[in-house]
Amino acid sequence: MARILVVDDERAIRRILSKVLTRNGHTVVEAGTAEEGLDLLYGVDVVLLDLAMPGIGGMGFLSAVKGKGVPVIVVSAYYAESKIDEALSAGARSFIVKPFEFAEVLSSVSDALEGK
Amino acid sequence: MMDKAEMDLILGLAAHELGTTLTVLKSGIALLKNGDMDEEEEAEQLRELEAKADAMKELLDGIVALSTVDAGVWQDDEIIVQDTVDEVLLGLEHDALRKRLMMMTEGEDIAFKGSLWHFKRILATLLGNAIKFNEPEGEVVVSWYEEEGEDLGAFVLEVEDTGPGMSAEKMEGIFTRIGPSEGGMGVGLFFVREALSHMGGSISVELAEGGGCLFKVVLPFRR
Repeated sequence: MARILVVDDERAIRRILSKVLTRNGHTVVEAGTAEEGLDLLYGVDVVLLDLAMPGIGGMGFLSAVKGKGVPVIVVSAYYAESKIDEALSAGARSFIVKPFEFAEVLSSVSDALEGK
Repeated sequence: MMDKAEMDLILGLAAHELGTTLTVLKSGIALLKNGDMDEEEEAEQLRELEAKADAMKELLDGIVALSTVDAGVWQDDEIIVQDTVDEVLLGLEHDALRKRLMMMTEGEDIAFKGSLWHFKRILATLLGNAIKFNEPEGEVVVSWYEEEGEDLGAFVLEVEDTGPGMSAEKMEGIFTRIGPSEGGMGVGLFFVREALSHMGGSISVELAEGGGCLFKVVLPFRR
């Protein structure tokens, strides 16, 4: 099973994702800001990333990890196509719109781990 | 009037907050339905859901209030200041008690013509913030008086809290910034400024002598 970093400034969302992922056998590391997430990146297999956060935010995180080989799944309440395109061009592997289904999160994580 | 950029910001904020809140509510309920949480986890989950629902109510109130400013829904009511302050404080009693705050009022007998609904929302926003950002067992003082000046003079209302205050950086643009900030949805003070500007009034903030915030509303009397 994998080590997953959840980066979201909303504590309730981190808790929910953490619960669902640990129940499915993953280990979860949580970060409340993109900057904190970058510090915790070592040994992480997949990142679940929010976009709207104080500081450098999700887009700043994406440009900082571009080319490092860690798959990043963006989980955001932004549903505008331009935002999705922007995140995907910045290196995100896939995009999940909030509110999400647990099954959607778990299958995106599996796909990312299998390199699909 | 709000310009298009401000309107877009508010719509974007509302969409983002709705998405986030729905995620917390939907996923939180799904976790509770699974039934494999212990009692403490369940209680924590319920608290999170309640806090999110409260935040949503705050955002909704702010958006409704803003929409009335632009729609020009203004009444010419008789506003008796003491009665209105008392009524708004009664509505906030639960929040003030939860923090064991002392709520004090001091003011002259003043009545003036204006939109009572908007005046109440302005008061509720300022007092709500003074409660939310205060320290437990702190104080909130609401005071008002008439100020002589050009023409008919003005009505002045001050709200002072004993919270941690605010840095100069945070104070700058506090009435024009839209978006979530620490503990708030970031629409309330924007509404206050819009409503007061519609009424020909203004609002300012400074650090109170005790270190908290002192908000000052000035509303010129109309003929």
